[in-house]
Parts: sequence; structure tokens; C-alpha cells
Amino acid sequence: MIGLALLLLAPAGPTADLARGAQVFAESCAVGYCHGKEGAANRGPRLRDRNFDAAYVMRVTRDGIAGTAMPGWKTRLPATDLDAVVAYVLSLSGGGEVPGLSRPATSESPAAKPIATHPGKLLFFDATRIQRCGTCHELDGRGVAVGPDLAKLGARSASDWLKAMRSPTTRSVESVALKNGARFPGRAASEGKQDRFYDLSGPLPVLRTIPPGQNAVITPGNWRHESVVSKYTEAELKEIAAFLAHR
Amino acid sequence: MKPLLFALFSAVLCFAEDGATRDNWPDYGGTNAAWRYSALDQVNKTNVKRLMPKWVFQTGDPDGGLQSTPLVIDGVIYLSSSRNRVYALDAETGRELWQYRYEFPKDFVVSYGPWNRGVAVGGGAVIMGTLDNSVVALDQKTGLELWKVNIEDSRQCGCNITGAPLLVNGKVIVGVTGGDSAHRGYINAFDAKTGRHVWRFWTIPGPGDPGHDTWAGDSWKYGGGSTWMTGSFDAELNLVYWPVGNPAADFYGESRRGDNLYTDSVVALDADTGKLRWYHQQIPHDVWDFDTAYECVLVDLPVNGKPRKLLINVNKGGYAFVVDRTNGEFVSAWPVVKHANWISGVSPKGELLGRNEPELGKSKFLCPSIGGGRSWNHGGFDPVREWFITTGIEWCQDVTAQKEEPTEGQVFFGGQMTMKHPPGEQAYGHLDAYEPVTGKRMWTYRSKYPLLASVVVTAGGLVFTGDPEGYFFALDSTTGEKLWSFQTGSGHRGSPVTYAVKGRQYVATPSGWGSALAGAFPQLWPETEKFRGGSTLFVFGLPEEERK
Repeated sequence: MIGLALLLLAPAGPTADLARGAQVFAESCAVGYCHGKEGAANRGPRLRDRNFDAAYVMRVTRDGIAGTAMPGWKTRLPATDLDAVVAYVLSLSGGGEVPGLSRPATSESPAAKPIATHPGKLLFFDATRIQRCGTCHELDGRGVAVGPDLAKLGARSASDWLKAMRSPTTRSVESVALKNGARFPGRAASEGKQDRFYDLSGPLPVLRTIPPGQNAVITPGNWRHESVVSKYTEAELKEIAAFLAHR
Repeated sequence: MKPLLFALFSAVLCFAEDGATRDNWPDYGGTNAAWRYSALDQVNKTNVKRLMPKWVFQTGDPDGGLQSTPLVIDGVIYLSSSRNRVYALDAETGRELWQYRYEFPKDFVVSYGPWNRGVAVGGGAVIMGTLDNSVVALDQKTGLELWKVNIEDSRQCGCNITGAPLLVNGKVIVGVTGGDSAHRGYINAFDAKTGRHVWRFWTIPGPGDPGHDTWAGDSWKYGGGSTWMTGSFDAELNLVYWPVGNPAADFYGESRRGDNLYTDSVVALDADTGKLRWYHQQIPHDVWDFDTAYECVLVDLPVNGKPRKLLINVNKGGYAFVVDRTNGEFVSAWPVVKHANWISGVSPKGELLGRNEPELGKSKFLCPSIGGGRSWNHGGFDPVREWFITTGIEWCQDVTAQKEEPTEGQVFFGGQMTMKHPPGEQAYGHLDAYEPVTGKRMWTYRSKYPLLASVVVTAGGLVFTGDPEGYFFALDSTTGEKLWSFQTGSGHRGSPVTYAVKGRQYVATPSGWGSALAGAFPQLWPETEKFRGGSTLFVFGLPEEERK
């Protein structure tokens, strides 16, 4: 009965592997703050006995639900795993025990291994550093967009990237002085506007709102990009440059 | 010596650490000693029956419930709610003075949950940690943004901030979630005026640092050690105390062999530099998700006749640990639950006895459940009786460990669990008063459903808290007898406070069912799936004619 229902409902088709789906569900979905084991109620909603529409489950699994804790899995799971986990969730609709699905938890997981990543990219987003490239640059959906979008700077060679990293002058960072005596190297949050600046004087950029009446006085600054990249070694910078050139 | 001076002097002798609040409720834990105790006594055992609602404030966003501790300063309430919204309210009338809504990136996905547990107020700013792992400061008068700093991209770390910041000597100190993700935890300090980053304490030591060798291989990079609640501060010792949560993966420990410092520890940090002064680890190599994450209550009490500066901390395993807060020396440990089979006890030196660990690929019945022998909702300290008042939860689980590889910022749990009733009885909750050093229970109040709201203890001889069914109630702090209750229409998952304006005492409580645990309740109590959410602040006071 359940098998038939699956054949009819699952967009993944009969090839979707329920046992694999159960495993993906156990590792990625039935975890502390999300769904309960085998679709029980938890912080995430109960999934058993819900008679979900197959297309809906596939859409939510793939794209997530904006503004909630439900992430989209299309960039986190390979397509076969997506199909498998959707088939599994649909199999829970009938409630009760799903035959043959007690998952062999000790099996060596064939789960999606992290895609091999360029060593320069690992350094760019290296979480062991408080301050790293990703602290100020967003790239491929990671990092914080404080500095220029590197993807828009066009193709460059590794040596050009290296040169740019060490550029002694940075046009987009100016010296900002406030009436109350505060002065800091700042980058306007929106081009041409002077109401909010990223203060680059510390290791993490601080978005400062200029209080009304403070009227920021902007003068050419002497902040150097080199002062932040010098936290990396020469060899590391070359790896990062190679990664940026390679993208 | 004049009588008044003498009285003051002896009071100081009794309570070297004065953690009581008065008209204001200035800090998350009441004061930075985290007593959640008020010296106000206008509302007391005699008149509490006549307590009545004065005004109600609705945030309008019930997702995740209302889990906040409102702060009260000079007649203004500062309340945070889910999705990093902040409201300033006239504490007498409930009139909204300003509101602030944090702006999230378009494609933002919430890690863990949307709730927020409170703000810090000082130096003219209202400061809050955010769901995208930033810290934001607002003008206390207008609610306009002053500064905002991102700690690291929440999409990368799979972490965020839901706990209230701690304000210490012009610095704002914040923790982070991420203990069930492949993430390495930390505590950060910022200059409260400018937002400039001042120091970071990594809860997992990096290569070359003491304790690094308590992690096998690269497991330190993704070992959890979140700092999701709020720490305490001893001004005299200049020490910040912060509780550090469980290691990741929660149930699977093979790839992180070792003690896994400083997870499941209380760390004492120099407030100026963030340097570690001492630590006390409660659970070496935790494989139960038993999180030493909750409040650190700072009390001065005699131990064997000798006055000691102590710190009380209850963990999710259902044990209270008491240590000397000058040096981290173990003093005592005692259970707050009856059903705890993950260990057989704690030795007189503080070591865990008879560890009963989850097994790979095999279901095991363990108590308490990962919901905790107590949840994060805070206990209180009654300095008059010298009792610590805290909840306990009797519930269990079937847990199966599973092998997992970490992927940065992704969930890293290492097992599955199903909540179960304890042997021979239905799961339930209780609220109890204890002698903190011996753990001797002085009274108990039993509740059908576990109590998931904090308490506030008052000099009026009262303990206030709320239950999942929506009742906000007052107990006699000497006996635990229920003296008054009021149905607020939705369950309690936040932290009540009490304050005074123009000589009149008020009691305020968040009401609004929600949170991770509330979501898991139906596994044990199916009817709770229909419990209504909410997000409302109720404020109670005495009838006009009874006020002085």
C-alpha cells in the first residue's frame, strides 16, 4: 500500500532509495532543533500523518521556507539524496512504522562528502581567524558584503590579485571625522551617502550610523588593505590569489 | 557605632555579594550576580491574592514564543521578541515609546530558532545579539541604530545569538549558539560605545594553547562549545563567568576523543582581556548533549563554617555544581532530578561516576532527555533563607548514536532520540528550593507539565513563575504553597521580573508558548500540539486603594 502510494506520489520516481532517504533524514532533518525522529513533532513541525502534497514537499525541501528555520537543501544535498529524503518524508504520511526502514546507523555513510575545496578558498573563509577575507568580502553566497564585490571586478591573473591585495591606497575607504571628535577609517555603506559608514579601525567592521547633527567630515584616508591581509603569510596570500584567479 | 550604621555593616557582612534588584531590573539576571531576586516587598504573602493585571502588551509575532527577560530602568521597560524586535514601553501604562525591527538579508535562514532572550542597557544604548550573528546597539531614547557589527557570517558558521549580552565596565560581552553545529564556539567583547571588537575567548583551545590536546585530530575546529546563555560578573574579582555548552557531535564522541576542554565547563575570564583565569569542567567528554550552558549564580555562603565566594550552575544532566568562584575549586554537586541514569553520581572530588553512554547504532534508554533535567529557564536565589530555587524535569529518551562527519556550519548531532516517560511514571516537572551547598531540598512544587519559565524571588516572600498551560502563579517562598494564579492565555517560556515606579511595585511576565522544547512536548503529551502560541507581556499590580 505504502509502496504504491509512493509510486504514485513521489516525484523522485521508483528509483528513490527509501533507506537512503531515512539515513539522510536522520542526519540532516531529525536533529535537535529541527524535526523529530521519523517525523515526530519537535521544534520543526510533525511530518507523520500529514498527507502532504508531493510537489509541496519537494519544493520546501529544495528551496526552504524563507524567514523560517527551514533551509533549502538544493545546495546542501546531491540530487539523489534530495529525491530519497522527499520520498522518505512522503512515506511517513501514512504514519505507523515504515517497513524496512530501521536504518543501519553503523553503516559507513556514503553521504555527500564536502566538495573538494580550493585551499585558497578555505583560507579566504578560514574560521580559525577572527579577521579573514570573508569578514569584508562576500563571495559565492558566503562572507559579509562590506568591501567591493570581488566577482564584479572581472577576471584577473593571480599576480594581479596579489598586487591588488597589497594596494597602498584604497579609494573606497576614507577618513571620517565627527563633531564629537571621533575619527575612523570608513567606507560608506551606500555609495554617495554619508549617513552610515563601516568603521574599519578594529578587526571586525562596525556599521556606524552618523547621529543627526554630527555631519561627518570626509577626507582622503590612509587606511591600507595591506594592513588586513598581512595577517596571512606570503604563501597563504598566493593560495588566495590563485583561488580568485581560478574562479 | 550608630545603630543604623551597624545594621548596614552587618547586612554587608551577611551579603558581601548583593545581587538584589530594587526599583529597576537593570540586568538580564536581575543584577550581574544572576540572583533574579528583588528586595521589593510591597506585594507580599498577605496581599498577593489581590494582584490584578494593569496592562498588556502584544508583540504580534508568536513564532518561537516570548522567551525574553524584560529590563526595567527608570520607569521604562526594554523588551525584545522573536526576530530581534525591541520595544521600549512606559512601565506604568504600557504605552509604546519606540520599537525597532532588525533588518535581515533577503535570503536569510534562521539557525536554531527565531527567539531572543533579552537585551542589555547601559551608556545610553540598548544592545542586542542577532539571528545573523551580529551585535546591534540602539539609542536608548529613540531606538535608532547607533552601531552594528557582524561577528561572522551566520550562513558559514550555522550559528547565531539568542542570549542577552552582559555589560561589564563599558564592554558588551556576547555568547553564540552553534553547539549542535560543526562550529568552534567563542565569547566576544566589544566596546559598548563604538562597537569595536576588544577580545575573543575561544571555548576550544587552538593549536599551541593549553587544552588543545584534549581534542583528537581536527575535531577542535568543529567541536561546538557554544555559549548560548548569559554569563555573570564579579566586580571585586573583575571576573566574567561564562557557561560553555556541549561538544559536537552531541552523541557521537569517537572522532573527538579526549576531555574536550572547555566544553561543559564554567570559565572565569579577566573582564579586561578575556584571558582565562580558571575553569571547572563538569562533564569531560560529554556524549549526552548535557550542556553546562545555564546561568552562573554568584553567592557568598559558609562552607563548613568558613565563608566562601561560590558559584552555582545547574547543567542539562540535572546536576547542580557548586564551585569556589575565586579559583574554580569544586565544592559540591547534587541532583535536581530523581531520574538520572547517565551517571551513578558525582564523587566528593567532583568526578562523574558510572558513566552510561549512548551506543553506536543501538537504542539506549537514558534519563534525563536532552531536553534537560532542567531547561535554560533560570532559577533564583533567596538571600534571606539562603535557598536556591530551581526547576527539575523528570523525563527520559531512547537515544541512538550515529557516526557523522562534520561539514562546516551544518548540523552536527551524531544521533537521534525519542522522548520517553521515566520508568514507572508519567513525565512531569517540579520547582524546588534547596540549600545550595548541601543540596538539601526544602520544599517542592509539582507540575503536570515541565515548567519552562524562569522564576523571580521577592523579599515579599514570594516566588513567581508560569506554566505551559498559561497560568502565571505565586508560591510562598518558605513553603512552596501556591498563593495566587492568573490565566494569561498562552504558556510560559520567558522570564518574569518585578520593578517599581513612583513607589508602586509591579510584576511583569512574558506569556507565549514556543521554543524547541515546546515543539518536542507532543512526543510525550500529544495534546500539547494544540497549545496556543503567543507573545505578550502581562504586567500585574495591586488595586489602587491598596497602594501606599
